[in-house]
Amino acid sequence: MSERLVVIGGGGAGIAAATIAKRVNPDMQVTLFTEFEDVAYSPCGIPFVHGREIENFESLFLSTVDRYVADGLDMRMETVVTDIDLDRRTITARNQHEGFDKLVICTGFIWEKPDVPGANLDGLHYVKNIRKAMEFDKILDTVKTVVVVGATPLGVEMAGNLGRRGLEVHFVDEGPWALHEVLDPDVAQPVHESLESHGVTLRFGTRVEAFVDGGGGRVRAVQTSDGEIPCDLVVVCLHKLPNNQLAAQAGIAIGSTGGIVVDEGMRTNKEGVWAAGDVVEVPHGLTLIPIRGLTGSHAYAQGRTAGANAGGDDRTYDPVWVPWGLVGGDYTIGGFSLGETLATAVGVPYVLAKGVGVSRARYFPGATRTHVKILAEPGTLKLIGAQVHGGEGVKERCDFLAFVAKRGATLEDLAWMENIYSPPIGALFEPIAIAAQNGLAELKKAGQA
Amino acid sequence: MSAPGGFRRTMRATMERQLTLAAMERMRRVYPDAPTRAPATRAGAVWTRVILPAYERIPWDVKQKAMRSAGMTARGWTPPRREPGQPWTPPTPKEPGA
Repeated sequence: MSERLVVIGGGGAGIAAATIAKRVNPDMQVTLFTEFEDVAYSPCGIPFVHGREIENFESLFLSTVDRYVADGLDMRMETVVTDIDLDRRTITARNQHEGFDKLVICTGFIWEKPDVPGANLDGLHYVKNIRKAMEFDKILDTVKTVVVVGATPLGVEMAGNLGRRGLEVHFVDEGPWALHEVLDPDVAQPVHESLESHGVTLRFGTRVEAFVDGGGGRVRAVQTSDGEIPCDLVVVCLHKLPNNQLAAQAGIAIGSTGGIVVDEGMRTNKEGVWAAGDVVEVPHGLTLIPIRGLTGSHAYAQGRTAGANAGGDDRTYDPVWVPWGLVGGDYTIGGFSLGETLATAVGVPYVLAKGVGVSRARYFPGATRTHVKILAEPGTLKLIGAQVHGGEGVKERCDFLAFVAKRGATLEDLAWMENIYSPPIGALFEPIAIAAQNGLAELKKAGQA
Repeated sequence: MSAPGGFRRTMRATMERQLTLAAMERMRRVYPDAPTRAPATRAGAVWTRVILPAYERIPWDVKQKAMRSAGMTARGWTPPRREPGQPWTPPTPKEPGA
């Protein structure tokens, strides 16, 4: 009789795990449980439909349930798994026990809720499920003023897109600048300007104290340390918390971030059980400190590793250097690993290399300025992080820098890197190389290189 | 019921928060155009006068060794080789059927 793999969760990690396991081991019976009605869509695209940059939610779907069924997966939609019994090798869903030989847990995340009075009022919205986003989008047509709480990546995207839609948006966070937990203040500044150009009112350094009931249990204002902000709706964009309750109840080890502890094969501490995606913690490539709450591409890649190994393969997932990027208003920012703020917080020493170049030949239409800031280890000058901002090409530069950092590249390597020169797509001087050369020159001046 | 992860999770979250607040305030001095101050810490004197200054004084390589020996870094993972100047080599191919 063939082995049975159960995958819990239908997000990027769960879908990747199920499909790869089936591909690696076609004889394996693979069953995927998800509490939602849909799979295989891009939740990261939701803010851009709200902003009307993307025409409709249907565009966000990448595949259908029928397609996965045709590929041989047993898809259990709208089915909540309520228990895992590792001794009996069963899960419980809809009060039925179902057996498994192997298990992949991809239960994702839940949103942190504000710990203030009124957090349970109607009119507080969390961005996650596409069906809820479709309903929310209709409500947006009926309102004028929205408060976005939390200057996280999602908060920046939602504030910018709701501003683009023409709504009056108040963007509130206790921190001093947008994305303050990862972004440096010099890089945040152009994001602020772009958000403001979309009509977003920035209220940083402002603490949310309560959500005010307008009668009937519906929010009418947000009470803050800087006064009351009347509103029709609130979009809450705080931290992602790992949805770890099911795993923890089954005795699976939970780490210091709250994520499931896995090894490089995405194996948990329990035999025959893997985990992937927003519910796990993985080590940072520089520090090996466990971190979590990464991107959809990380979740997908982890799911592939877990699924392949559950299918009988032997693959490993590397510690992460976390290339990231997003558009705040109209302005593109990105980076990898540590910026100055995070390096300072963790206590990692660094030297800086900064430069500004252009994305194409400066005379070519569409050329934009590209700012590069690289952090390197004093002495060895190995890369430990970067932040890049400007227009086009930010994403590719961050991907490249994360990759070469993982391979041990130094500022010297970057200063003498080869680059493409073709006026419509690349300038003679690569902004990364300019930054590295500037950094080396500064270090030489200071007698450190 | 307490959150899975328990005491270690709470300690780490508090430490991260306090270190980040201190770092943001330092960054504001480096970049004086930064618009507003970091929020005031409400963690108490033990954090602000003892733990944070002590953490900041310890050199990074000592911190790293301490974190590794205290089990605060990930286990079951192969650290990537990052010696400067050393060319990257692809992983050793596995024996067929291994």
